[in-house]
Amino acid sequence: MGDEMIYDADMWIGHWPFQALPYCSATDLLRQMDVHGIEKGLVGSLHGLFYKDSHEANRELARELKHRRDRLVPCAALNPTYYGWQEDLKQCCEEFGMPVLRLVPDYHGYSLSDDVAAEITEAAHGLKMRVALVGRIVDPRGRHRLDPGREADGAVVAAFLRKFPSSSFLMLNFADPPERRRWDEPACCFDIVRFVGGGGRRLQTLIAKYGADRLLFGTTLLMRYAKPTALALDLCDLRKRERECILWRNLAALVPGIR
Amino acid sequence: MRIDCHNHCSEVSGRWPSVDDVVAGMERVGIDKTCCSHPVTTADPTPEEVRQANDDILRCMQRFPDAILGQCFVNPGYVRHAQDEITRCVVDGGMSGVKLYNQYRIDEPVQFPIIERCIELGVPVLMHAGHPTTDDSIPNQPRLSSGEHFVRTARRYPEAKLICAHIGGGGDWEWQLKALREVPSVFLDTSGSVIDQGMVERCVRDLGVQRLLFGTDMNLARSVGKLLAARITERQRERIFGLNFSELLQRQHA
Repeated sequence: MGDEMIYDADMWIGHWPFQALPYCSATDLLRQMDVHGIEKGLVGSLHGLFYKDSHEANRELARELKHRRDRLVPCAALNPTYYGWQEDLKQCCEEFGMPVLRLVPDYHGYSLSDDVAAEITEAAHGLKMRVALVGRIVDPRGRHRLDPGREADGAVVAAFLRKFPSSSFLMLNFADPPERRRWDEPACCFDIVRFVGGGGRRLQTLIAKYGADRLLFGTTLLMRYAKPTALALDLCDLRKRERECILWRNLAALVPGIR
Repeated sequence: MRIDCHNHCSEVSGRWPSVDDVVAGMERVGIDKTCCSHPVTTADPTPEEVRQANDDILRCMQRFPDAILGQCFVNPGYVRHAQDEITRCVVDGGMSGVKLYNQYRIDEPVQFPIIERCIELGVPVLMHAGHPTTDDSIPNQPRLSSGEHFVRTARRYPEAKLICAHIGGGGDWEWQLKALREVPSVFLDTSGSVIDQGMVERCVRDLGVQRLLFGTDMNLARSVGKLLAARITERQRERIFGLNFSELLQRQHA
C-alpha cells in the first residue's frame, strides 16, 4: 500500500478467553500496524467484553493507550443494563477522550431491540460520540460453547437503525448480502473485513453498486491477519479518490477525533 | 511457483465460479496452477450428476491446460461407478487426484476402495473436512470428516496421500491440528475464510511445514493474504505455496 494513509476502523487488543492469540498488547498492535502501513486505528478491549463492570476495561484501555494516542484511539464499550453506565459513558467521552462507543449486546446480556440499547445510543449521540455495531466477534462455526456471541440478527439490527434515521453508525465485521436492507439505511458505513471473499471480485462489485463512501478499511487486528483485507482492496480497480475514501477519508469524516 | 491444491470451477458460473473468473483471479495474485473439482453437494448425487460434473472439469482443463489441474469428484456410495470415474478422469483424463465431499466420512468403509485405488495410482485424495463446535452448525453436515476420522483412516492406510481440506473452512481448527499431529502422512490445506491471527504459524509448529499445502477454495485474498502475513521464513512460505504440492504430484508419476 506504500505511502498511502490508512486508518483501521476495527482493531482490538487484549486476550480472548476462548483462544490463545499470538499478539495481545498495544505494542504488538503497533508492530502489526507498521508491517501493514496502518497509520491509525480505533481500538477496543477484547477481554473487557467479559467484565461484569465493563467500565473497568475502559479505564484499562485509556491507561494503556494514554501515551499512544497519536496512533491508537480507544473505543468505549459499556453495558447499558449495568448500574451507572450514564456516568461511565460521560467519563469515557470527556475524561478518556473516547470518540466511539462499541455496542456488544451478546456479551452484555441484552438485545438491540431492548429499550436500553436505544437509551445508551441516544446518550452517546448526545455526547457527540459515534456508535459502532458489531456483526460478530468470532466465526460462530468454531466458537467455544461458552461464548455467548452470535451473528447479529439482520432484522433486529435494521429495526434498531430505523430508530435513528438521521444518525450515522459504524458497522463492524458485518457480512450481509448487499440485497439486505442495511445497505439502504442512511449513512451506515461498513468495514470491509468480511467482504473480501470469493475470487477477489466481491468487494469490487459492492463498491461499484453502493459507492466507496459506504465502506471503511477494517481488519479486526489483533484477532485476525490484516493482509487478506489489504490484498482484497489492492485487487480492486479503484480511482484514487475511491481508494482514499475507503482507506481513511470515510472514517475521518465519521470520527473526527481520530485525526 | 504457486499451486493451489483446492479450488472449484465450472465452464459456466453457477454453484461454482466460472473457469474464466478463476483463471483471471489466479493471474491477479500470481497463482500458476490450480487444482479444481466440481463436487455435487447434495446428499446422494447420482452417477449421471457425478459424470456431468467431471465432464465439466475435463472441459475446463482442455480450455486452460497450463492453469487448471483437475480433481475427480466421486460419490463412494456408487462403488462401481466411482471406480469407473477414477479410471475415466484420472487414468485416461489426466486429472491429478480425487476429491471427496461430505456424502461419507473419510473413515467409513465405503471409502476404502477409493483410497486403495488412489494408493495404487499414487494420487492424492482431497477430503472436505471441518470440526464445527456448535449445535446450530453440526447438523448441517452430519457426515463431515473431522481430524479424528482422518486419524483412523491414516492409521489403516499410512501410504495414502490424504489431504485434510481447509484448515480455515470454519469450525475449531485447533482441534484439527491436535488430531492431525498423530498421523504424519496426512497433508493439510491452508484454504478457507477463517484468517485467525497465528493460524498458519500454528500449523507449521504443530504439523511441520512439509505437510502444508496452499489452497484457496475460492477465497483468493484471504488464502493468499494469510500466507503472506504469517511469520514464517520465506523458504517455509515457498514450500507451502507450491513446492510441497508439486513434490506430491511428482511422486505420483515416479
